[in-house]
Amino acid sequence: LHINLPTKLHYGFRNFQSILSWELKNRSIVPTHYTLWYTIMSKPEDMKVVKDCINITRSFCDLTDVWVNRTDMYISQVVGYRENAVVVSCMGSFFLESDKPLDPPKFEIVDFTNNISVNVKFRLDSPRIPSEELQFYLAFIEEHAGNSVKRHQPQITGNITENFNYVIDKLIPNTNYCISVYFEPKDPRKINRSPLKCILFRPRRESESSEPATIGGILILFLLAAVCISTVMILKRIGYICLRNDFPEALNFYKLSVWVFPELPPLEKMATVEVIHITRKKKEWNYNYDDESDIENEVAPRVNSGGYTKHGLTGRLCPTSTTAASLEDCSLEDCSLEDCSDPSAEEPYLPEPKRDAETPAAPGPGPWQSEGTGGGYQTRGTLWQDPTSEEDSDSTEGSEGRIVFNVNLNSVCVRALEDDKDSEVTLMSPSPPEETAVLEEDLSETESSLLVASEEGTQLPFTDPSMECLRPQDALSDKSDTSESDVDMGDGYIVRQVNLKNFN
Amino acid sequence: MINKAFFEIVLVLLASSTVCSQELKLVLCQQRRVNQESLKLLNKLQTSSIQQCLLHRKNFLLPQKSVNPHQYQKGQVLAILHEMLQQIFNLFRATSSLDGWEESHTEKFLVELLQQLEYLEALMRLQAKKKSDTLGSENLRLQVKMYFQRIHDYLESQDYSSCAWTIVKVEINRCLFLVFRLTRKLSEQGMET
Repeated sequence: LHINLPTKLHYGFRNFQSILSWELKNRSIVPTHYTLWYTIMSKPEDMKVVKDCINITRSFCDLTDVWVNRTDMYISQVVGYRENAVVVSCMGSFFLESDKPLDPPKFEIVDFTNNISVNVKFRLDSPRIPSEELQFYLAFIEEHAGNSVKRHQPQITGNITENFNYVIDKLIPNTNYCISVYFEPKDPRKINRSPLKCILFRPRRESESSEPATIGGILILFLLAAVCISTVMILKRIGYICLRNDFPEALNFYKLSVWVFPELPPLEKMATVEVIHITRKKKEWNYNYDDESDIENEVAPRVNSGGYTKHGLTGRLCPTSTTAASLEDCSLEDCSLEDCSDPSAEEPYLPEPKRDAETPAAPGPGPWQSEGTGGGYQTRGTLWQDPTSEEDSDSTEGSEGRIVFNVNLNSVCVRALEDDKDSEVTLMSPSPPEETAVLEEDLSETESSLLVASEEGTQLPFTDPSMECLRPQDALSDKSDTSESDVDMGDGYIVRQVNLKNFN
Repeated sequence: MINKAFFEIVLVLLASSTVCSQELKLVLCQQRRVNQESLKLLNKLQTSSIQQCLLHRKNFLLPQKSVNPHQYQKGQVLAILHEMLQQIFNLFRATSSLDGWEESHTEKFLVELLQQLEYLEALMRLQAKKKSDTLGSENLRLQVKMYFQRIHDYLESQDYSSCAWTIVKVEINRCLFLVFRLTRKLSEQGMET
């Protein structure tokens, strides 16, 4: 007994609740209560009554726990009663997959620094829908900005029983964005969108929020440092703490600075030495008491084959920082050369000052006779004043008393003697000692000649006979020994600045 | 030589993964179109006609386990999908008792089905190169075939009546939505791998 009244049945799925509602189009006869029946198409089963929808006065029924098979087609029947009489009966068929468009879930939107977060809320108490069912409900989020609509599909993985968040980024600042969420229906004509929720996207500049924090951090650091330093100073002032000055040796960084910045080697002492060779015959006493033998024995300086002249040099080397008074201590002495007249000797000899030269109390001009074409070495010395030098001849008082002699350094070895007044600086060569010239030197000089005496009086390294010194024949050449650094002083002397380092 | 073969295999796998991913997207979209066309055919059915055919209902014993997307691997799912769509295609191609509207919409439905079958066959060829997870597919195919055989037998027993067709359409819609589930799950799995 069915009375088909125009009835509109509506099936909805809201918050994961299956709700079947009905509405009578003809309200002339209004039932007082309703009963809902249903069956499925997949099996030949009888109509079943919904237990919770028997003689109900409301015009809807919750079928969440009843219609669970979403792939099946349900046939429903609503029977309206009035005074125990059936006044209305209507049937409907519902294919849940298509006819049950999911009502859009509730959601909230939150504006963050650079994005908008959409929090979609599922019903917590929706156990009726298994997770494997739920995952097939594709949720879509529509982003409306102006006239453009962009659809986002969040990937829902795993069991969804609670909320999930979806972040929308790459937004245009200062733009009004409206968000809508819906579940994708199988029937595209039955999209059930949620009401739009709009928000004006105003990104916050992170730099602005971080700048005060940075400034604050720096200020705090400064304050901490100031507090620490002031605390230490106060404690030190009141004597509560004592800062040690005598650090352990391991903390002695004085030497560290030396290690890091090693002291530069002392400047090379340079002295200009001019060697004036005086060839003198060996004086033989022929039992003749004639005093002219000294003069006769003087021989003009000869030029050796190596282009060097040999000179004998005696005298005391005086300090550079000498004054007229101090120069008085310097005096000329006799030549101590054993043999200054060996013509075969190629090594330079230190010249012997002439006896007739002025021998001042101050080391004035020495009686030099210099002649040579060989390479001369000039060291700036305090010692003798070269009488042949025009420059020095008038500089008795102001000159430093230089000794100028030519020395072939390649053919000589130089050694320093003891540190005493009688110390002598021996200019030695690899050849026999009789060819050695002796040069006295005051070790107190700060500027010495190339013949430097060590304080210990040890010989200079190259005076060691075992030391490899350049043989004259190795050093000498037919060419002039002058070099580019040589300075022609005239009278055949070529002076050369000697780098004492070469001898060390 | 081994290195060369290994390199080639890697290339094939990479290429197939890329192609497979794109194909899966096509399969999913196409399945949606298939389902929509099927729904159009079903929606044309009036409720009254459905109510009148309640007595002609039959349980065709759809293999639910076969269409459960959680227990099979990709290769097996492809085999199930292909078999079901192939059977549906064969079923509707043999339909003769259709009116004009139904005939045109049925033809459109078959075109969409055919396109989907081509996509699935391409995926199956790619899957065959991997030579993996295709074991047990024949048994699943057999279950699907038996299911559709029952449908064929029902139609034949009902003399291909309208109610029989109504019942069958309802059943096919149910089947297609299960297929859609499988396809979506397959697409998700394919994008993850």
